[in-house]
Amino acid sequence: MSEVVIETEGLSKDFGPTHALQGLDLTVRAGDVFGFIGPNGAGKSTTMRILMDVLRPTSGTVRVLGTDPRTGGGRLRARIGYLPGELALDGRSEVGSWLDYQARLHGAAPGAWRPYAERLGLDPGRRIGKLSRGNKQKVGLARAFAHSPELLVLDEPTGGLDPLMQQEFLVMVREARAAGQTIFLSSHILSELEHVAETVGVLRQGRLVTSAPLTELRDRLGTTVTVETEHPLDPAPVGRLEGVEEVHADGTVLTVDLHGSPDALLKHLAAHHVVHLRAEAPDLETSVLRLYHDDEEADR
Amino acid sequence: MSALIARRWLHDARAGLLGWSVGLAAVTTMYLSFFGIMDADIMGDYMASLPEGMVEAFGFQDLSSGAGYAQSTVYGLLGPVLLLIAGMTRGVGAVAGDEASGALEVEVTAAAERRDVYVGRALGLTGFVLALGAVVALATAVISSITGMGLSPTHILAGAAALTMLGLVHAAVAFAVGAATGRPGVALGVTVAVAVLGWFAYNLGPRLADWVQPLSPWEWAYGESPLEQGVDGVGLALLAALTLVAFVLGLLRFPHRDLGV
Repeated sequence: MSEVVIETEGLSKDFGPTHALQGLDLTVRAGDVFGFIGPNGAGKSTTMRILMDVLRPTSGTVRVLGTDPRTGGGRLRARIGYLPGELALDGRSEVGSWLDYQARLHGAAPGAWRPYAERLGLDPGRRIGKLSRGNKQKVGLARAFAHSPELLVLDEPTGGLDPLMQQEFLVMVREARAAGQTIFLSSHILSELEHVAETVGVLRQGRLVTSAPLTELRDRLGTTVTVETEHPLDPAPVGRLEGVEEVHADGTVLTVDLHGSPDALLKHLAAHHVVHLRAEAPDLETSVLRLYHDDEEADR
Repeated sequence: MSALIARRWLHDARAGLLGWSVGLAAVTTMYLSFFGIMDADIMGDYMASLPEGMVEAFGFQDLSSGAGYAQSTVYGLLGPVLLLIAGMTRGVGAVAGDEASGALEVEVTAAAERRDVYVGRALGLTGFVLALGAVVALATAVISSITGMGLSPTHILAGAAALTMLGLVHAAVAFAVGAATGRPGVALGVTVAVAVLGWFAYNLGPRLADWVQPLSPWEWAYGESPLEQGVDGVGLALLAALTLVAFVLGLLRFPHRDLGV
């Protein structure tokens, strides 16, 4: 088991009557790319801001790189690169001078940000106030990566980036991962995380719904099989077959949600005249949305 | 770390510093320049014609002497008004304003301690107000030598120090209340209240009760007429003490609260 980089136990945060986090248990291991996903208002930013000691938990414990953020202070944050979800920068500064200042604040050499600014196509001579949202995001990313921190905490990192820069960002994340850095990033859109995250934690209403390797999550979601037969099939016996979770019949077309082996289904179909058969992994997005939904049903 | 943050804060405030400097220099130069032109007798007659209550309420002094004229125009009225506005708005902005806009988050999440951020910005703000005070002192010295107001350098320094410290007290209150609460509106409201109450206590306090006037920072600054009498160590010490108390109280709270909520 690799070292634990982020660990929260029973983490709760109230803002007045609002319960932003309700007993969050989260574990992120060293070297992982952990995607933190959930709808807006689920508590992703709140969690990250507690990790950065901007907010203090109402109850529960937090450890980041083995230290409580409350006592770790600046020395701990020197080992973290953070991109805020709502990035606000002083518009009067020039990009380069501001990033130099931030590098000094992080105990890094001024100019450490240059390779990242170059890769992201950022002009260091421009005034921050004149930049588009996407370009400001690049300033924030360069700030987070510049001092080669052990842990990157990135809140909605791809927001505002064009597709080309999103690709560049993914390359930066992979390189960081290869260099042994741990990346904890959030999004409310799963497809943004699908290509980069190895582990996914699904957050809803301040609770972790699930946390699992992406491959495991995909397996858990199974396969969707669509069969077209010459004559309509009776869905009832199909539904009783081993591995079949759900059956939906529409004329001669049968849609089957399958978990595990397709053997029983194929043997059953062999007795019929199959016109067309298609098996595909279900769309992860809809499946995760269903996860939120299931959880909601369970609450009732 | 605090020094780095202070330098950066001043660097970001340089445009504002320049603007306020030009404004204060212009007001000082313009008002004090009139002194040489005006007939002392006419000024004396004018003062005598004003209702006594009005003279008192506005803190007007003998306009026929250089020190009285400078005190009545620049040091007692327009100077503090401008310096207090500059100091208060910057003081509110330095923590509470940046917190509300979100710009504070990229500094407190860097490898700096909260107290470094606080102390650094407090030092930057102090430098900002001191620089503006120095501008007024310099402009006064220049005009005084031209118009023959008869103000000695030590008396100019004494007056400017009083004015500067009066500005700094209010900047510090705005800064500290903002840093302790994170609410720019509250910080501004409290500071304006302190300024206005202090102003009335200084000018009208004696009519109410004996103990009212000595509570006013304006009395600490100008009670001993520094432009005329020279440095008032006790008054400056009281102003410095209140500044320090405000900064320290803010520092006790700022590192321990949630930011940007």
